[in-house]
Amino acid sequence: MINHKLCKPIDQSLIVKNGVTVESLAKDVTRLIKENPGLQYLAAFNGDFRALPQDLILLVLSPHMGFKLTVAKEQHPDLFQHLLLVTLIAHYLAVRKKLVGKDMNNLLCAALFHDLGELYIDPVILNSENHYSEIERLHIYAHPITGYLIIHEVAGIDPAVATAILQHHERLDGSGYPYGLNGDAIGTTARIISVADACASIFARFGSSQRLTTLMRLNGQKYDPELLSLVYEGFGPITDCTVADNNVELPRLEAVSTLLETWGKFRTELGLLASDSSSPPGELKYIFDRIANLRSMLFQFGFDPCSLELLVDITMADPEIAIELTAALDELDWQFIALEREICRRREIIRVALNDCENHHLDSWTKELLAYLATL
Amino acid sequence: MANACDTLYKNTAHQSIEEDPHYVTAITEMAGHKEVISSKDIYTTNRIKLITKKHDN
Repeated sequence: MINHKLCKPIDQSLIVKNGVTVESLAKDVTRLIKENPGLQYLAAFNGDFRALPQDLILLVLSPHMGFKLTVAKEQHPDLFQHLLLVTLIAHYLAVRKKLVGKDMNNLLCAALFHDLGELYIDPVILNSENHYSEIERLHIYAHPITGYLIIHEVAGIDPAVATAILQHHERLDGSGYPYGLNGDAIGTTARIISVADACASIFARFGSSQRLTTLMRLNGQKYDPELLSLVYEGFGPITDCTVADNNVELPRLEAVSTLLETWGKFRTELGLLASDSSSPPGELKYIFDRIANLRSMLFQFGFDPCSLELLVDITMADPEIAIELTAALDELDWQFIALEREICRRREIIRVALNDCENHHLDSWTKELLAYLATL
Repeated sequence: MANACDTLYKNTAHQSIEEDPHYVTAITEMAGHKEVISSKDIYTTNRIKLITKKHDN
């Protein structure tokens, strides 16, 4: 079957017995809430944790989409769990934003289907913990379009759902994909899904509101700030964050310090002032903004590259600051991974904007960044 | 350049759906532990019938 090109999508001709239905989705979401104390706070924030299951039962789920969700549930349980978690967080945000009727239905559909494009990606790529090759990145960047194309073809689904899926990896500052849209070009539903998507990933990784605080600090320009505050309120006071031995954090701090220092030299090479307010060439602006944001977050911890030991001593003396520092460094690592991917994705455009010497400096810095990421 | 990237992403997405080995593999594996039934005949683009619709008894 794999070797044949079919005249229409295979799942339009197949039925699965005991597959996913709106009733089973409602049950799965209820189970998810019961099993996670952090989600109970969020689910009950509006007074009734049964609100989402009840809204799910009212959805119209075509056999075609039910089949795809069944494949996700049976063969990609992590993906299915992620879809449910995003739907739960997105529903909470939609209620807080007072979405009702058709807008709420579209939001729930977009949340449930937003990553179904991943069913068409090699699972080896999705499960990879290494850095993606160029071809692998291409599949990752294309998956919102794949999701859009799948949903766009299904009768009875509002086109707004497909659009939200297409935009769910776009970011307000233009740093997202696939099209690098920014600001008002990104619709409300997509903004909600993108925040819910990021929070679900962080929750699944850490189960900690400390990480969400850091996310808010680092990503104020990427996500709708109102939605970020609503998420933080919704997750409430969860503090089961593991703290690394801060002596272990010293090498990380030193490595980050070196990266920022080399970046400063690159700025000088470009003839930019030391302050973060000077403007780099257009295609580089988002990278400079991102690094300025990271530096700003580190400065809030009293980050001084000349006295890192002192910072470690201070954090060791105060467990709350220690939790924050560990969370900040973890988030910083994820931000650096994302930044490296973005630089790689836009490298050819940037190359045209820089001269040979400047390109050499950027390549050297990127190598340093990759070397740091390889130690994680 | 941005448009070239956009086209590349679109082509990749179309290709993923049209030549969907990973999705078909997942369905095949699912059929090993869940009952999957063909509700219609399945044809290739050159009209070769691969699977016949299962008739209700």
